[in-house]
Amino acid sequence: MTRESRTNLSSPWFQIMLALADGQRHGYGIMQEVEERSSEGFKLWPATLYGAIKRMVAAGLIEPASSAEGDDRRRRYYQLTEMGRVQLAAEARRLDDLIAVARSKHVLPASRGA
Amino acid sequence: MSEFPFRRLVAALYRVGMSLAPASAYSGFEGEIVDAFLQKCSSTYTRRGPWALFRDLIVGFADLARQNGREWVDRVTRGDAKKPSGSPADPEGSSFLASIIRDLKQGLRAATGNLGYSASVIGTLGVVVGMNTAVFSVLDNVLFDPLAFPDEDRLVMVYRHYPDYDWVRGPMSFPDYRDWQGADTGLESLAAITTEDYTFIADGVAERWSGLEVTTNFPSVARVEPVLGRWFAQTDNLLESERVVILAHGTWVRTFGADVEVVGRTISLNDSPYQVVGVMGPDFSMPNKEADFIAPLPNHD
Repeated sequence: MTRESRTNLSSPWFQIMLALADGQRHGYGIMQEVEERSSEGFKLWPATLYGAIKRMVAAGLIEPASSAEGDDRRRRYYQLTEMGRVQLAAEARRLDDLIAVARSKHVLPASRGA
Repeated sequence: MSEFPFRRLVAALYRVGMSLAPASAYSGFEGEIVDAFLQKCSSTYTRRGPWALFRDLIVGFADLARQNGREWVDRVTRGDAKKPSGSPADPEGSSFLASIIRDLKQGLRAATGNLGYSASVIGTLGVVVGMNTAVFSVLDNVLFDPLAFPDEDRLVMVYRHYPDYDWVRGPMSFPDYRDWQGADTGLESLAAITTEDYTFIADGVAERWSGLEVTTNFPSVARVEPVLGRWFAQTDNLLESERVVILAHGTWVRTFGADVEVVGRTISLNDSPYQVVGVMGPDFSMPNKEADFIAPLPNHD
């Protein structure tokens, strides 16, 4: 697989990895985090979420956490793998580059709050 | 957190929904998926009320259906990838089978990508196909597959109407039939017919035969006669007469091996001796009724 295709993470994958960027979460925790943070009402529903989790575990981007640091023992917690972290950063950079282009072409205002 | 209504039912339905995915698609995750969905529903119900819950239920099940679709697409395409491929350099494949699978994959993606649209298309097709089937069934019976009687366009079925019971197509009594025969009905002739099951016993083996009991003037209405033997005589319906029966063609072939000597033989029906006087032709049939035999309707005068 080329670097190009690896970094083109589909939106649910990117959202899940973002949710896991600051620590382990269980499935419902990921759903909550994504819903609270996305202003445009992007929601992850359980079947899609777990379908993505299964594939992301198989792809080596995330893994079940070895020791749960959360409070709920009934659930499995997930965390980013090293490769997942690299891929997430690469995707974020790719998006950042695109945003920079959009700014330079005045699609977006020159800067936002910075 | 207050529980939302029908929680158990929702959980059960969701599990059924998951079972529609290819085997082991969610294995190891079933409990977590259901839990996450129920927790989401509880949270929505507590914070935003029953209508929001209703919407979440619809979207949640649609999400499950869409994911099931993805799992099937994956299963199909992965199954294809396992097979040895002649041209690994061309991942899409160029063989006939590969193109079918590609089309199928594309179709499944399109169908699961926009569930509302797919549902309306499938629903519309379902209704249209159903209507076509219904209309064709009626036309087939009325226009293309008419009754197996000569002059069938002049035949009518007469019922008794019981207004007190709102019963439009009710049975009529034998005295009614007698009255109507004498009355000025505008009908050329009138015969009575009823369905009756008899038990046929031969060599200690019993068979249930379904048949027709008709008045002896039946051929004057239906214009059909036996191909073998004779029709009932006027006196065959009297209670003191010897009992007689006419076999349907199928019965004659199936049970008596199409033996022409069967006419005149006595068989046992309902523990009574019946003489076989005739055999109907293969074309004879009553609408909606497979008859094994015809017997005279006993005269109740």
